[in-house]
Amino acid sequence: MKLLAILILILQISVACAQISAWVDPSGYATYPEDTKVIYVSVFQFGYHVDAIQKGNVQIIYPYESSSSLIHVGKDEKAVFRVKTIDVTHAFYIFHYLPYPSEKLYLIYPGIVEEIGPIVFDQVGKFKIRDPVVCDALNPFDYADLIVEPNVPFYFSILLTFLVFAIGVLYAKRGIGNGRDWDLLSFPFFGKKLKNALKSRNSTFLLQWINLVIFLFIIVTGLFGNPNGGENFSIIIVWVLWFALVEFMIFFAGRTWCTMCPMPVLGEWLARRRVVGVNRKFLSLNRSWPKSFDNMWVSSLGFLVLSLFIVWIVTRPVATAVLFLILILAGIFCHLYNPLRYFCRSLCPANGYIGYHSNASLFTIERKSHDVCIRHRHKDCVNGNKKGYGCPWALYPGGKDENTYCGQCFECLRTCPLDNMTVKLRSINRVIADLAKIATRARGKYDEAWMGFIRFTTAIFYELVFFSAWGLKYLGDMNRTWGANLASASVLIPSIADLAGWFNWAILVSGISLIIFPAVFYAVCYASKKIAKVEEPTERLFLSLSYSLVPYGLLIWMSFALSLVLVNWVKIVNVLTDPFGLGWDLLGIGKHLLKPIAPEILLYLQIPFILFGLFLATIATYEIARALTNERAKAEKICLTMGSIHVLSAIVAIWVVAG
Amino acid sequence: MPNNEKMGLIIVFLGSAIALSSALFTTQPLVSLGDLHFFGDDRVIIRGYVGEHGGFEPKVLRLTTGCHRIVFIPMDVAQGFAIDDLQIDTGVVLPGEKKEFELCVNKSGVYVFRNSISSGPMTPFQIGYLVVEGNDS
Repeated sequence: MKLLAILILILQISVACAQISAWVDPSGYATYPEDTKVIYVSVFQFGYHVDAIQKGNVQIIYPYESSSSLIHVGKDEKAVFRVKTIDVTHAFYIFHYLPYPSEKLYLIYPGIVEEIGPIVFDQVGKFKIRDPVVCDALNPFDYADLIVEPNVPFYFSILLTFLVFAIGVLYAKRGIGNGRDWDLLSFPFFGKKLKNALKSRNSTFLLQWINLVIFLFIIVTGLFGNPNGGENFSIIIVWVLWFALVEFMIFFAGRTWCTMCPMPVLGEWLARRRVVGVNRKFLSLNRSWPKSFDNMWVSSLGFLVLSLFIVWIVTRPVATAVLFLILILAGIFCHLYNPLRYFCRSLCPANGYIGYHSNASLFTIERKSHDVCIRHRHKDCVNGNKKGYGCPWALYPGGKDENTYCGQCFECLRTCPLDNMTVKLRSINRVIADLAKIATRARGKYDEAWMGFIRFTTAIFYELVFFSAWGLKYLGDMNRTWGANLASASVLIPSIADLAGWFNWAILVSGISLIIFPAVFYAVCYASKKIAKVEEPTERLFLSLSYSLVPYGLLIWMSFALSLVLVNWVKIVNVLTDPFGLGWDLLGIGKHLLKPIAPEILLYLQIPFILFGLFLATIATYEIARALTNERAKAEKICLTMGSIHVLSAIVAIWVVAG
Repeated sequence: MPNNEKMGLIIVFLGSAIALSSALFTTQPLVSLGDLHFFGDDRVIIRGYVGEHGGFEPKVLRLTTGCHRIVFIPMDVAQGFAIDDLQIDTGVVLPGEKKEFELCVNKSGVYVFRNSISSGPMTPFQIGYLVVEGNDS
């Protein structure tokens, strides 16, 4: 049997080599001068493979087993691409070096070798090659990389990484103090308007209602619209627009998404028996929430599980629709069990990371005076009154000093009879100072630490799956080629072999997120403890210092989100005019091909976010260490040691983006 | 119940009803009504899905003898539309594009239409039937 298997393998390789040799034989094509490189590329669902490169009389043939979807050329080198498809019709577009597909489309038809070029590569750096014509499910991930050597922007970014770390250490050593904050509700004119808007029950209701209608529509389009995600409202609006907006919203506006999130509102309205007003006779079993679930474990592991299926969720409309149906139904059941927002607090995968990262937000809800809250006996913010409910998130808003579990519902603003609650804009220094306080209190909060590790590592995986030429997407996709709506959901049934591939992917992603990265982080914390001669147990350092990933992870996600929107913004416009992907043109604007914004520098726009994340992580590490040890010298040593993992992480992130 | 609560309930009901009922526009036979509305005339819409997604919509197209305006829309990958017996072939049409042509049939009968380019492994099975009824001319 083994012999037979080896023979079949040899036969397959021979056939593949023969096929490659046939089409890359230069005698069948026009000839080019010796200084022109001819690159033979096969296009397929969903990627590119360099079959051969020829320059003058020298031709290098790459076997199919090699993962050569990386193309290297030199600055000012001339190259011609000979491109063929091995399955359906595709197209060929190189960011910056070829005209936008809407201006000139290089189509690759089955059976025809298309010649593109010669192109002179006059700008160094990394550029994406992308199929701008829909070729089904994973078309949004259909990339190859072109690197014009020397890749100076990448090398320069690596140097900047060390520089930014050094600046971070110096900045932190100088002392960041307590920072500043601004009471937004006390701003002249604007403050009063904002206060009225936030206190109004109607404004929250309207935001929730608009989003409920949009998400119900998302479920409908997901179930009944075009099976191809790139043509379907549900996929593009959720996984390009919403996904990116939320990351930016967390940094600039805290948990504003949670204010208007439609997932729990049907359950909440049902339990309250009110959609706008206040009624404290709940339609609910009013059971107490199990203590073992009152943490971030379910939501952080839920986020990881969703990430394991992310290739399906972000490309198959039916998967997105089913996900939101489950979330809405879970919200209803949880509210019927207990009328408070325990579904959001403990179960929702998005709420978990939004809450975790909102501690790095410039925006927060706070009491004006601690003393006023202490002296006030009735605690309307907890018990509620005729103007609003007691905190639906089961917090004491008057004592709140972190954003993790505050859902920004503004009930405390409505109920506080002393007008002691407000919303604030915080300076970066204030954000870091507050984060350091949270970190030093973090005893036993392994759930939040692991949320940090999961979010941080998956950001890199998402970048690899969405934008890289690597084959990770195939493992995560279980090799399913086609998109799916409700009618064609059966195309998603995987074979045993493909399931085995997915298990490899699941083990890789969860292993790095749950074990390897935390273990490395722990080891560096242990080294910090030894180097700085700190008496605190390593566990305490580990848990506290993990909060340095709060701003760092968020900024890396923002860098990913930026790229997502800049590349795919046209698809947002397309689905607004044709939400079901049925060929409609409701807005009369037509549908357009891919047109990335600033394709010549797009990748490098991501790097400042990564570097700013490193800067924040560095000063956060220093401040947390200083708060733990009460000694600047020890804090500096800890910061420098922990810098190894922070700088290395930044280098990995930059390498994935631009290397 | 306060007035704003009643108003809120009405808004919620209406919004949800509109969002959910939008599904009706995607189902047969209303889909053609929806399309007629959007195109503003009596053109016949044929949507092309690869075999894995169910093939052509509709799979059986009934027309009378005479001339008709046909709009072919590939939905998932690039496809072509051909009726060999009537010497019709649109060539490659990309997803997001529409190919409009005039189809004149003078003889009643059943004609096979197919995807004329390679659009994946199930392409040979991506066929439909054009049933032409009426008097031959």
